[in-house]
Amino acid sequence: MSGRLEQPADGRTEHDRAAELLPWLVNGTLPAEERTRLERHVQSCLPCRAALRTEQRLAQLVRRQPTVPLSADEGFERLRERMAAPAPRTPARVAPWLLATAAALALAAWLAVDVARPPSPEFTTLTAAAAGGTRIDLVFAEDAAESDVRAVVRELGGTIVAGPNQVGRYTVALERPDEVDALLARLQRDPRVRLAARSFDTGQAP
Amino acid sequence: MREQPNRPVPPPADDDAVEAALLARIANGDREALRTLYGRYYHPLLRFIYRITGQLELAQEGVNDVMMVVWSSGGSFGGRSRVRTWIMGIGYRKALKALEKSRRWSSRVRSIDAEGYEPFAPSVEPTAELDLADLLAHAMRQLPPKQRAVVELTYFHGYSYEEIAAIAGCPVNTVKTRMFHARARLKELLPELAKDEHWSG
Repeated sequence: MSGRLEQPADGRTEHDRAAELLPWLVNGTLPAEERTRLERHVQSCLPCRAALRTEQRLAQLVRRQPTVPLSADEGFERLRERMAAPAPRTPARVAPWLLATAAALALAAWLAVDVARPPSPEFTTLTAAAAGGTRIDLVFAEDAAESDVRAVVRELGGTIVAGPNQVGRYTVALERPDEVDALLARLQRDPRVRLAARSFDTGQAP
Repeated sequence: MREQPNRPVPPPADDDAVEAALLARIANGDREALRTLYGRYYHPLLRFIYRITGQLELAQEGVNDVMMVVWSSGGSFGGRSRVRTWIMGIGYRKALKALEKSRRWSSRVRSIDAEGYEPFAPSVEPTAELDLADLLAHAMRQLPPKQRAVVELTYFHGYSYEEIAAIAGCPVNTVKTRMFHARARLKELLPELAKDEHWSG
């Protein structure tokens, strides 16, 4: 299944939108304004009232599915054994052309192995002039095309100063460092981006 | 070191500050903090990964894969999202990757999705809620893994659609669409679920 389903067409009715949101009315996580609007619709819509009962029934049944009765303590003991073992050098096992695999391993590799290292030799410095200022590190989604990479960087108002490294990490220098928190928050929600964080390569405190 | 006794495991609390503080301690190498966080997330993660992969071994290994990431990178979390969203997001990716790997390399492994190709035909009318719960478990296996994940995250773990979008790394509209398709398919497989809708036409 694709990670990028088509968005519902414009021109949907209030009923269409309501029908889509019922599960989150049931689990109680809708923002207040959205909840009020949805409840108002459901009150006046017979099919939505019936659909709401269906969702409530479904929610109850999902919650009643048995949980696997295993001990967290035993799991933790296995974790401690793994922690005591020598750490695998994840990036070295990744074939450079397997970008998808590299992206999937990026979290472990980037955060567990690469953190706080100076830029490694495999980095390609593209724009030395942009070396100063606040930088962020990005790993793109597995299905992100090169045009997506360029578009994201352009939207950030930044410049790629390094990357991609073996795990698909780019470092981007920002022209508007005061907006870094807002930009990172936006990137967290961007489907083209798998990971985004302040770079550890700047020498600045994050 | 002695094992701590089993304790009831709370669901991931809506207490981000407590968990962020645990992460900060973990970043400083505090193993007791790791044990505490592990206790909070073990069962939610185990269930979540199991529901996606359908394989208990993958789920057990997946939980520890996630917690290894937490152990080695807790210091770089930096409050970019809620802790529970961050951790479940790691679990989501680990689960999908494990499922993909098991499909690719082991045709003998009985994955949920291999079972999914079997026709689903309840032979008896469900006579009690328990029966319906069993049938639902079977019906859930007919869904694509990403749809199963959204149903689980919504109805078992109680996440908002925005949190699910963060966990799955997709737009909120994709979350809503996946849920919509999942619900439609489940109603198709289990008409009993939607009995009120049949009456109301």
